[in-house]
Amino acid sequence: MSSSSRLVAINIPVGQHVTGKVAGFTLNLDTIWTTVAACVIVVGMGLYLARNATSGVPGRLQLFWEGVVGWITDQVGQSLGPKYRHVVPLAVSLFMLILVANWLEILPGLYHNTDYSPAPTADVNLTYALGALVFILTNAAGIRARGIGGFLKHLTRKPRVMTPLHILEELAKPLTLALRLFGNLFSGGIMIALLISFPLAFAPASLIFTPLWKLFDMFIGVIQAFIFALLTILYYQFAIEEGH
Amino acid sequence: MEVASSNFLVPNGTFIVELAAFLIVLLILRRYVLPPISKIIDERQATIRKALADAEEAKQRAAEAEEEYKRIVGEARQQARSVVEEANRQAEQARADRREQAEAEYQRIVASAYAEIDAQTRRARQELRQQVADLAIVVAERVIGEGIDRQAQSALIDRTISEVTDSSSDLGQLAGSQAGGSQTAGERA
Repeated sequence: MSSSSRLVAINIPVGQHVTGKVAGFTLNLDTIWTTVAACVIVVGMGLYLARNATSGVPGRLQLFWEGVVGWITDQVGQSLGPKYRHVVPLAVSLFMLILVANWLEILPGLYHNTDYSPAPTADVNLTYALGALVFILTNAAGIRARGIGGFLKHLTRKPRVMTPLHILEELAKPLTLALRLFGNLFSGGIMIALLISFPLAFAPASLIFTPLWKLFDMFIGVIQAFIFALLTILYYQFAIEEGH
Repeated sequence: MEVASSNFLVPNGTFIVELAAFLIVLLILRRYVLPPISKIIDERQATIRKALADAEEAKQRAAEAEEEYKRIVGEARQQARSVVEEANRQAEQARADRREQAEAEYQRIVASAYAEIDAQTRRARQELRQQVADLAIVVAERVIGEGIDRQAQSALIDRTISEVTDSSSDLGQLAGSQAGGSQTAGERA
């Protein structure tokens, strides 16, 4: 009885961050640290690889990067054509950074209490930033491809009555992009917090399910990074496509 | 530094930092990481393409070499056959030559044997004729009882002897048996 009441009483912090204030802006320092950690890992891997990569038999790290770069290059080539080769670095950076950021959740307790170590992607600040960037870049590409008139005409295309929905759709794209990533990672973190918060009587279950969940969470991390990069390329495609 | 709760769907100043962080990662990857990786991928593809082309070429070369080998072996066989034929022909020729020589030698020996026999026959006949003449003179002297001028009578004697020897069965048989023997020897060869 007491354990069930304890279960109910568990307080899982939501939207709680270590904050600091710089020039009037509130900064989530924990998110920034983990972001910096993810950036350092991605850039470190990349630079190490750029120095040590071989055109002979590749190592595992190189194989992984080559796989990602090859997949995104193919995807961009098929969806956008050779004119949009500059999208490849964007999509690769998005995939790599999101993937590493997602996997940081697997590490026990980068900050906070040991129950809950957030991935930076479980903070909307990161996902909004990436979504906004993709929104700006894809629409800029659309305007460049169609001209400002063509861009507006595309938004107000027939039937005219649909115009508000088209605008809403465009606004929904970056928002869903950001919230999908955030929601998946945020909930993954809550799952881990829940599993670890099992009362002592359920310790064996916790010991079994926490690793299982973390493995599954790694899988989700790959999927979400994949979706984010793929949708970025597709949004580019929708933006530049004729007669959509 | 403090722990603060807020609406988790509302961004704050962290947004700017996150954007800047991503842009930095993007710039570094685009500038320093992706070009070498793309280059390496291209290089490897080029290597693979080249290896495949090389393999194809090597295959073709091997096929050509086999063709050449077959051709050379065929030529060698042809040559060997012609050499053997030539040798056979020469051997045949040599055998024929030697047979011809032997034949000629045999003919020569037989001919000289005939000549010898003829000479001996003639000499024997001459001697016989001489003896017969002498004998005839002796017999005639005894019958006549006086000497005969050999010189004066020689013509008569010769004629007589010729008549006698031509008709004499003994001498005719002698000459005939000698000639017949030679002929038999010739037939035998």
